[in-house]
Amino acid sequence: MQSLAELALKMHESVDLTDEREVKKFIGFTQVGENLIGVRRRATRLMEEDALEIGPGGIVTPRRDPFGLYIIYGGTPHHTCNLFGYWHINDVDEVYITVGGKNPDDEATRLILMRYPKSGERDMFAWYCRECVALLHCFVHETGSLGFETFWKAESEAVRIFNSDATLRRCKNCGAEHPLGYRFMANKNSVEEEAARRIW
Amino acid sequence: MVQTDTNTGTEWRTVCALADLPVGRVHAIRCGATIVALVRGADDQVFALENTCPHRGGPLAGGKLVAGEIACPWHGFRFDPRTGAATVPTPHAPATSIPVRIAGEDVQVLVN
Repeated sequence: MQSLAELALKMHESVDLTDEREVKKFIGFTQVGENLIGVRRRATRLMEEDALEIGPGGIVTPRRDPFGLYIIYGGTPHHTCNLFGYWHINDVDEVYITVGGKNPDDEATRLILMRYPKSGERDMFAWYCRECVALLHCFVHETGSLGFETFWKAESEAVRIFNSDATLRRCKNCGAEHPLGYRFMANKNSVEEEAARRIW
Repeated sequence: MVQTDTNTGTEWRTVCALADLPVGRVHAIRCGATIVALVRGADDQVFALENTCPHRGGPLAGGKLVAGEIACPWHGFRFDPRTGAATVPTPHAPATSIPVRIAGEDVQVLVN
């Protein structure tokens, strides 16, 4: 079993963060050995409280240690505001390391590391009511069996299904209507879906 | 109190009175050393699930009813109280259903 320090070192060795072309290869996650590595870059102010989780206490901002490291444990619904238009639930842990700039508008970098999913391990794309946190809809994808290269196509299909059926977006518990979902890649979204990105 | 059915040899434990189970919510009811999630339907049928969500082990008895389904309080995964089948998301492993019967005014849960 690798320690967190070893995992961080592995990411450091695998991605040259000074090379923008190299970084771009990791935007949509790239397999490195038995792991998947992703890189995000946004303004520091956008990185500070953009990651949310759902657990026994409802929707929370995960606690981070002083070095900006935290772990999304497998099975935990998590959502990155204005970046992913759904709650992601996967069966593997995700390690986040976020290094911010000095000023709010300075660019921050987040490294995301997770083990490549094994057969039987899945990704789910879910939507929770923004009022009462009831689960509205959840699309299940067998990533471990089908390979991570199918992930983004599954994401697109999950968003398409959620957005095409108004009954899925209406909460059966409290009646609140959920905004449209949206895909990570802006060029895959309609104008309306991109507008939803600004909402949540 | 545990009652043995002389025809089948099955044992049923009285866990509460039917009158103690209002319709429209999930009840956490002690059954021996464990807790079960009980739901009373509008037709006075009562259903029980084990108190463990198959997703990440959340306490189903602490959940709420959403569209007649038990929603786990941890991550909102939902299950049909009648069968334990997962309803959101699907496909997903089911919760474990426990047989229940009404004996007079009492609710009894199968213990073996």
